Amino acid sequence: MFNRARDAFIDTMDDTLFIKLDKSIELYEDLKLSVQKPLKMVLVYGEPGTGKSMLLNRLYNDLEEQKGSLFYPIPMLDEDIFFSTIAKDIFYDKSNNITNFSELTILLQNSTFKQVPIIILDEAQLYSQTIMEKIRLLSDTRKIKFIIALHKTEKEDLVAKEHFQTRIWKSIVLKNSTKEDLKVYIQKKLLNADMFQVSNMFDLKAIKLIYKFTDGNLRDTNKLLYSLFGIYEYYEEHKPSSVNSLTIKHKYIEMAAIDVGFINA
Amino acid sequence: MHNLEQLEKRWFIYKAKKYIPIALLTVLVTIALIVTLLFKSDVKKELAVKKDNIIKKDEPIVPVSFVENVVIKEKREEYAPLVLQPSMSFMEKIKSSEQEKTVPVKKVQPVEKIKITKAKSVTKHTKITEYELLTLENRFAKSSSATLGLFIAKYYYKNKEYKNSAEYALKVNELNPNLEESWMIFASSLAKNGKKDDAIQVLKKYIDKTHSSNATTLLKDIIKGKFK
Repeated sequence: MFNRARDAFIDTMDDTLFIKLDKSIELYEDLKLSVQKPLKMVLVYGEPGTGKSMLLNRLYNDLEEQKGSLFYPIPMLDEDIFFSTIAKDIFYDKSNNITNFSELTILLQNSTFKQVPIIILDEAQLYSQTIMEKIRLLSDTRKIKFIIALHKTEKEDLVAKEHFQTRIWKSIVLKNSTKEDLKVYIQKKLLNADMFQVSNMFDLKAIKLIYKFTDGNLRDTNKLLYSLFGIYEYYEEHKPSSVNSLTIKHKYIEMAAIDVGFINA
Repeated sequence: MHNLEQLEKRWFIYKAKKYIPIALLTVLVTIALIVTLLFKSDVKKELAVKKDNIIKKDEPIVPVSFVENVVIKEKREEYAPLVLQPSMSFMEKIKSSEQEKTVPVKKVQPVEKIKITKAKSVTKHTKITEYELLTLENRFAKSSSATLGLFIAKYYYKNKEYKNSAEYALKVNELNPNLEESWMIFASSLAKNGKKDDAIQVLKKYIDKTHSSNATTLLKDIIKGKFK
């Protein structure tokens, strides 16, 4: 029973597993609205594990139906490869000769699109300062639009620079979940995996304890619960008498926290 | 989950680390509280004992040094051995005649009245106030302490209130017939009050029993008319 519960918390980018929380619904609707509005750039940022990638992935899948959006979850660190890849994906067969930023800019300026291409860049803090400056120049052509997601790092300072700031149409900040959202997240994850009985095992005290260790961070929560259900799976197999199927044992939550390194014991 | 047993051990260590400081702190606080409570109760007991030694609760407040002196004298009196028991038959006559002539002692007198009539004369001769005198009289009435009675008799004698001094000296003689000073004040008060014969009779009886030289001297002075 617990092995299926454990698998529900494998950290994945599958947008079909996107959990609708109050916070995430609001932010997603905000992001969709900003995409429909006039150009330049939308910035999505927040600490690791707050759900940026999942949010972008869901947005990409929704926009894909309308055709004209490109999602790059892994950064392309080589500048020429980055711009030639974008050119190829936007212009298909027309971009065979484009190998750098200047050629792409000229091509964009001479092109018209029925629907403006939206380029979604995840982990943008890994791009070099030069590439980021060139992305800014591309957005100035008003032929394409960028949605950039990055962690709260020094790169954020670069983006926040005045000349860059004027081109950012909107900033969306993702924060860690509240206790209430965390409870909904865990329960919905388990319900999606048809683990109704396990879902009912999480009372408010257990949620509070999990929140204490993860601070509402969804990636940390996934890690903790993956380990927790691993422990349950072991006890279910080797010491079935010690497994209470009515409530989650706090001892096991603490053991999981030790296992994943949230507690230094 | 291969190392679950080790993980469980780490969990026990974590719990121990978490709760041992709390348990130690609780024990220390409890010990500190117990020690504090014991210390406070000891101090209270000591204070209570001291208070009992100094003054009884229901008694009116008088100067501490004065009260201490009186209490010490009372204690000595309690332990004094009873040696002499003179015949008191002749005293009955004197007592009855005194009671007929003198006004009974006012045990409780209004303070204001005393202030108007006696305040000036008392403060001239002694340091005791009327309020203190009243307090002493009340205490004497309750305790029947010979030492206290003698003190009051001496006070009245010094203030030339011979009826009162004779009355208190007589009471003291009844309580403790061995106090020579009381007999001397009693005889002197009688003599001062014009009852020379009674004074001589009292002194003679006393000299027969005790052969007191002081009493003999006083007797001679009264007979010769030197005592004034």
